[in-house]
Amino acid sequence: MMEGYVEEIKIIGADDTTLLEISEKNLLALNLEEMKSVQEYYTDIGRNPTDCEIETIAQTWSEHCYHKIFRADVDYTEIDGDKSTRKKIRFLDAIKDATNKVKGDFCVSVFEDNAGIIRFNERHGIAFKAETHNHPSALEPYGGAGTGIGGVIRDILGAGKGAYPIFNTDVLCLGLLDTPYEDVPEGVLHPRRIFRRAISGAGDYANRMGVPTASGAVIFDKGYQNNCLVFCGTLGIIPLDKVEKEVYENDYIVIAGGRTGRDGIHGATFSSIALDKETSSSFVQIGNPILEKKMMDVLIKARDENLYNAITDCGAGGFSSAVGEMGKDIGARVYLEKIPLKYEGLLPWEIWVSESQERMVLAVPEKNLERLLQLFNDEDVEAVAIGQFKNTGKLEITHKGEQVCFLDMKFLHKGLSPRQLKATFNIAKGKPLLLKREETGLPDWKKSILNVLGSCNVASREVITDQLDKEVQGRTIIKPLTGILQNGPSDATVLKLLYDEWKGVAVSCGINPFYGRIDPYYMAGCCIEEALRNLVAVGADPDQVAILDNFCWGDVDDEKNLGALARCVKGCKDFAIKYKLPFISGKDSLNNFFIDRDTGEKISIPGTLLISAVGIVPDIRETITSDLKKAGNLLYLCGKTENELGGSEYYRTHGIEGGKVPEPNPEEALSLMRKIHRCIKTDIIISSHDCSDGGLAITLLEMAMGGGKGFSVSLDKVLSADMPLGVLLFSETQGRFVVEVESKDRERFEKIMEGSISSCIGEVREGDEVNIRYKEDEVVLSVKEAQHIWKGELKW
Amino acid sequence: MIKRYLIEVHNKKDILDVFRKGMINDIKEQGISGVQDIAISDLYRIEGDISLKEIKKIAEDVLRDRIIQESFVTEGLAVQKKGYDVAIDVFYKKGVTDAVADTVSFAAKDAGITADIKVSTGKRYYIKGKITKDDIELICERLLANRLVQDYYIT
Repeated sequence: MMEGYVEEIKIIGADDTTLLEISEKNLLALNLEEMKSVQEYYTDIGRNPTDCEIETIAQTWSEHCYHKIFRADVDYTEIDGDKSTRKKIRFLDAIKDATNKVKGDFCVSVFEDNAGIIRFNERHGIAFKAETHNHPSALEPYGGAGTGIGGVIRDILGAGKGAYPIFNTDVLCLGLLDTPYEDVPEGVLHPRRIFRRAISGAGDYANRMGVPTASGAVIFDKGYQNNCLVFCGTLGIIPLDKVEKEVYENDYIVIAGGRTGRDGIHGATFSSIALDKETSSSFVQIGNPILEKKMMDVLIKARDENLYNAITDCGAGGFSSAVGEMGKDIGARVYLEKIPLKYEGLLPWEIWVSESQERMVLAVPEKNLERLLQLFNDEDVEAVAIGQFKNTGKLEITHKGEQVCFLDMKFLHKGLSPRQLKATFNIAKGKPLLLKREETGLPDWKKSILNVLGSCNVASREVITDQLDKEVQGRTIIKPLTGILQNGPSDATVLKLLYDEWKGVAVSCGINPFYGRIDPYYMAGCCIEEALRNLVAVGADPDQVAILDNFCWGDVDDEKNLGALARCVKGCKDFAIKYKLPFISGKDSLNNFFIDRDTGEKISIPGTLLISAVGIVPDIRETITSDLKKAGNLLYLCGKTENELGGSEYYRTHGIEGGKVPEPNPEEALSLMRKIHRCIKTDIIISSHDCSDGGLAITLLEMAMGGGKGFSVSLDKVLSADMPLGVLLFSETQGRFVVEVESKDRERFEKIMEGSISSCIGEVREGDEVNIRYKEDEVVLSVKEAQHIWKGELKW
Repeated sequence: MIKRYLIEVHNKKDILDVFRKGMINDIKEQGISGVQDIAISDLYRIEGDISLKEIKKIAEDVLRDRIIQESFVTEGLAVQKKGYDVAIDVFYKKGVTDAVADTVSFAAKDAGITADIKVSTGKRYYIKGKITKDDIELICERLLANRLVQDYYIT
């Protein structure tokens, strides 16, 4: 095809079959109803669309950009035994409702911009955002995960008038590393390969950008074998006077950074399509972090000189989304031939929707244009004006004088009516399963504990964290591993934000798809609580925390899958309100399923929710770590333990399904967290660790490994401890912490804890021995042996 | 006149190459025995109206770490196996972003090379030992190349 070739897409008068054919052939991912809206619009104006127009519409209306499911009217039925309730729900509105109820003046910008922004002090705000890059990472993990980080860093650069990126998070969900090769379908990469290449990709990109990566998680489950999940988050710092942005008429549209090529064409629409074994290479993006680093530096300079009115990043949908989004309230005129290309031969529509990396779009007033272009030129970053924002309400695009697109902005951004969907969820009555020794044949508690400790979802992540630069920029105070020998896991990462201030932030996350298999509602509650609890454990203030939601779901055309998602959204709303945590930004990635070519079966991922949290640490000198500090100190278990083993690591290591998942109790948990915070601030608690995956046994062992010390505890002292030892050791009941208190502070501590449940269960011991007693049982372990097992499981 | 060169850069013999060690393990994990040794080099294909002397300057001053690495230049694309049984070259497909290649072009300019050059980067894996053709294919598919964005060539 010739350069500049524009095709007319004949949709006027087309019948339903043809409309669907057009959508499929051009990979538009538009359904019949949407195609009909397009047809109606063009029939009204009396002509057919150009390829560029229909691509622009497809990108703008893609699930990835428009979030059709989250904006849809969902008719949701929830069945609980013989009771059934039916309700209309809009997912996005539900999440926003929660935020509106609890946000206060702490939130500066929520759900409007490329990232959420909260107040840090009188002068600065914090921008935080997490994204997914699942499909690209499944195909080319190195490039996919790298550009995932690159993309979310650009989101931060494009938040307000630009925040400075200071920190990344990485979360992966992968298939089991020991999956036999024969079980991996053709066209799917083996989990181990994705594991290595995704971590290398994300690490290389972030390391080369000079932005530290020091927080995250990895979940292994068979359900992610064909569709891995890669979440990338970035946190930035922004002067509060740079939060507002607005595009004005006649502002120049300036693009900066990388050149445009054929890479990543159809990324946005592709992410709305299932993976199968035949997927084209043009979806794949490979990043250039050095280029983005140069762009980052010059952008911040331009921002501080107030050279532009607005900025956004070029992500999914390329210029079509970025320019379309910026100009949606006025209009834009673009000259495609001005866009620098990597190579010749791109068709106009390809230039317009290409997802080449490292590009930003700015709105620059005429008086500043020369200075801005000069600044970019001085730093060897390409920047050119490609058009202007015009008060016409139209998106006008020409290529060498020929008009290739003339679209009504209103139709483009408002023309899509909400989908009408049906969803059903059947609440499974999760009864606590009682583990009797004679039934399970598991009297060997030592072996059970070590099995859980060495399971792939609990074992040390040091092979990953060791490859990521956690220190660059010099802000990282508490890192992913803790203790003198870096032998124990941290609950959260703590950062010092400004060089002249002791105030800081803590970052953590909560993710647990295993609970979601039983009940997504409580999964949401547990993820939210875990993220919060992690922050509190290091010393963040539980009343100054903001969270992000990232939903990754399977086939949402399926009523039950959508029902599970609805139940999860409901959980997010309810628990966010109860914990008083505002969602400040979020993203959903749906249709993570794989179609088996032979059987035609749709294999969906487990419904997954990632909650990322950022909390204010009033003074970083008052933060603590989880490693045990000194022999003779007392160990307390704070919070109530229930028989909640459903979805637990313990059940999984024994292949037990079902059971009752942890049901958080926000009121008690929040009250406890405030007390813990007070004790950490006043040095009464000197180490603390949150009780989560693996339960109390793992929590205690992790503290012992971090400190290189033993302990002796008696679980008879746990209040209301009339339950089997298996439950006490492994139940994953929320709202619990293990804390270390010096014996001289015993009274002060217990006084503050009045009204909450806390039990002194034992003390820290010098040496290698761990001793746990309960009724007639005694479990004795060696810290060194535990360490060996914990570190040995996850290999590169 | 446009000429094609291939620059090969690899670690000196006595320098530990962690990627080499890792790769040997990976091949074993695939259940493939018989691999005695492997060696890994970085490849830079350079095309342009440029003299051998200039190419050598790029190889030695730009691409090689002179303390731990050595470089070789060949004209054309003939593969010398240097005592190994198989050589596998992996390159990006046309049109796939090759960020390292872009940087090499910039770096060559900074080093005073004025000719316009086209660069593409790749890797070469030398394998020594008795392995079947099928096993080599398996190694390429599972470990060395992602065919979605890369091609491999076995000699």
